[in-house]
Amino acid sequence: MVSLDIALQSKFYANSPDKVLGPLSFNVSPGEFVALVGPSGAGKTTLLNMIAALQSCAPGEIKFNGCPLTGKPDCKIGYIFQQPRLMPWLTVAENLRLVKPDATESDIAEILNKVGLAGKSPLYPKHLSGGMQRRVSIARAFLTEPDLLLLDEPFVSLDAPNADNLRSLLSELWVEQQPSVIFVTHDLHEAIQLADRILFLSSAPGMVILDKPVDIARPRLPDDSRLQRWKTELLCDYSGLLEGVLSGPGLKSVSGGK
Amino acid sequence: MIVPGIKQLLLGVLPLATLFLVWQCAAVLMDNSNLPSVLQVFASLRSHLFEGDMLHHLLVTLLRVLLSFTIAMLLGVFIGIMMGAFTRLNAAGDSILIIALNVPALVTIMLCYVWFGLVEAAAIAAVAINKIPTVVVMVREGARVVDRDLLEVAKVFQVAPLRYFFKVYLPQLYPFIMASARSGLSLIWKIVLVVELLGRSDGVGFQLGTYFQFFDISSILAYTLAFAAIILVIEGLIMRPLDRYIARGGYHGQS
Repeated sequence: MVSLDIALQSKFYANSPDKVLGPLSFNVSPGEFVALVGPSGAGKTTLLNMIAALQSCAPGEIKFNGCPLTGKPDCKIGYIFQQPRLMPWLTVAENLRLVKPDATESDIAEILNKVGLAGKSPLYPKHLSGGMQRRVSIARAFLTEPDLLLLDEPFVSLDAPNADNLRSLLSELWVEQQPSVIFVTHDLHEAIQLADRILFLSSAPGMVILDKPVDIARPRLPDDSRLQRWKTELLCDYSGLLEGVLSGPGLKSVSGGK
Repeated sequence: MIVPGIKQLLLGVLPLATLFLVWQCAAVLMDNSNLPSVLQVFASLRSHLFEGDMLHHLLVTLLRVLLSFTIAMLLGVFIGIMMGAFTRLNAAGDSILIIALNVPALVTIMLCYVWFGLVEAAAIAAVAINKIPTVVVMVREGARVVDRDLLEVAKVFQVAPLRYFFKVYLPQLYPFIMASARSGLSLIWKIVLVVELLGRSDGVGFQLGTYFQFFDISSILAYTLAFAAIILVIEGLIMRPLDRYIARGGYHGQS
């Protein structure tokens, strides 16, 4: 488990004057599930990549357990990308073993069993359906027992039943291993179902416009009426939230509350 | 299952049989000593193989081919990866590469013999130098289009450097390396013959030179056939299985 402090001044695209992100700051407590919701182009993926040290940040802008991120992070990070990103020339088992070389046969079998892919370990990714490939990428991330799990719209382009299954699978594995999670999505319903807290981003350059805890007791089923009610109330208060604009009657109460 | 097998065999054998048939007919009709018939060539092949020292010369040539092939592939793949990965190195090396690609094989061979003497090392080096640039060009293309997304996966999950290279990076280049290996083998054995003709006292090239002086066309064709057969065997026993291994998981370069 790891806590994360983000305090970005600004982040620009490589070789371009356009600002993607910032100023932006938030923190993630150990074991917390935070969803980032924002319009496309808000720099959500860039932010995840910066946390994963795939893109650079200024010194001290990102801190793991209070220590500034320099080079590669000294905690275990799991990343579930938008595309499964499996190595096509490795079997399912080899793909898993790539990220954890000392995994035993039974480790592999156990994680595959959990994601519902028992017995698929000798297959190559091309022999799996899209949904199954996602499952492998989820298995890959959880096999390493990460301290921090990053998810970049992992369920986009899946059919609804498949996505629902994978969401509940994600919930189960999160409860079991308790990594800190940053979950990027543009699907508000999905965020409400899964997260402890939702951060809403503005359109580019991305800034946090609203930080909202989800105070709904778990378990939350996808067709739970509480989710729908929570969502409706939120969007009544802040009508432009999903377009990345903070507007609506709720605005007054927030500024008044301060 | 049997019928497709026969079909496959027919497809492989039929063109070859037709070629031999046309050749035999032409030779019989023309009745010219410069175009020996198939039967004469095979008779010559038999006598060279069992009474002459053809086997020795074939082996010597094959050894030279394999040695210079290995050197050329290793160096070519290394330089190609470097040039594909580092744009500055690529910009700096590009003009040299183009020159290296276009220097005639004959010139490299002559210079190697003049500078290093008529020794085995000079022969091997001359052949390797001729092949390296073409390997570099192909592998460089592969290294340019490596899938950054997959490399990122390895980086995030902190895959150790050696595993990263052999399990994530290199497999993306296999189709390119395979293509250059295949075109390389044929190029190299042709150049090896020239090298042997010019400065070695054994090998298929040396033998061909000798028979050329006697206008012994049957022997020349016999040696050619023998070596072509060896290349076919290498193709069938090494290249094809390698192809299948690389294509496992349905990967043929650029996912």
